Amino acid sequence: MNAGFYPFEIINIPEERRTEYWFITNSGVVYYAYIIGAPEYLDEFESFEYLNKYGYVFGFSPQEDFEKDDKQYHDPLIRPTICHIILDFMRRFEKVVLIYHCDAADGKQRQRNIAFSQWFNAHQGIQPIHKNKLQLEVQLIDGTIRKEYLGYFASCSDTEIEMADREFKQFAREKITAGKQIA
Amino acid sequence: MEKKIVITTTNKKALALLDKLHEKKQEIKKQMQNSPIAAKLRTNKTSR
Repeated sequence: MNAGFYPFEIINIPEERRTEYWFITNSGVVYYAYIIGAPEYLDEFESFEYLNKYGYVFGFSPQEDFEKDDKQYHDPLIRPTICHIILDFMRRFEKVVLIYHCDAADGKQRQRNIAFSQWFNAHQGIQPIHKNKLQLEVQLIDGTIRKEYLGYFASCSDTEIEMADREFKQFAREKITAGKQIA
Repeated sequence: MEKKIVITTTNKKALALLDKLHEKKQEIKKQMQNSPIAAKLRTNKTSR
């Protein structure tokens, strides 16, 4: 095993603009990470020129569910492995915007968002990467708040980072804040 | 440089987008559960 992270297998599916990364932990838990072209992942990205062309959506998960208080869940090598996967993918491109979504399915979205921020801070010295994120707080009819995060890492010129930021804000305006209110 | 936008909304569109993103994750999870790679990784690990 490489020092500090798990070795991973890479599967490229270029016709789907999709790359899969697979690894197995010391305790035998199989993880996958996927990176899919933004418009292939979500058709809402199609109308945003820069994100449509250079954007990818990233996610990862254990292949099989297990209890979140299981000690396998706290394997310290998973985070650095995910970091290496992100870097491996971003290094392939001169310009790339890697979008991530921390959802509320297991209530761990805040911790995952912190993990992404820590990764960003730890890798600033290795490769200049820009980060932007939306913190979405949607108030439901019953008054509860659903809090999720949608963010991105971008590696491109300063001018293009401005384009990515502009489109990200436009995406938020058009796809999130415009339209009818719930209550 | 890190930027952050905070949006607090009661917008139906926002909820629909979050639901769609969640559904997409579930769809990918189903695809991955049928992948032969996991079995290969487990076999390789056992044989080491």
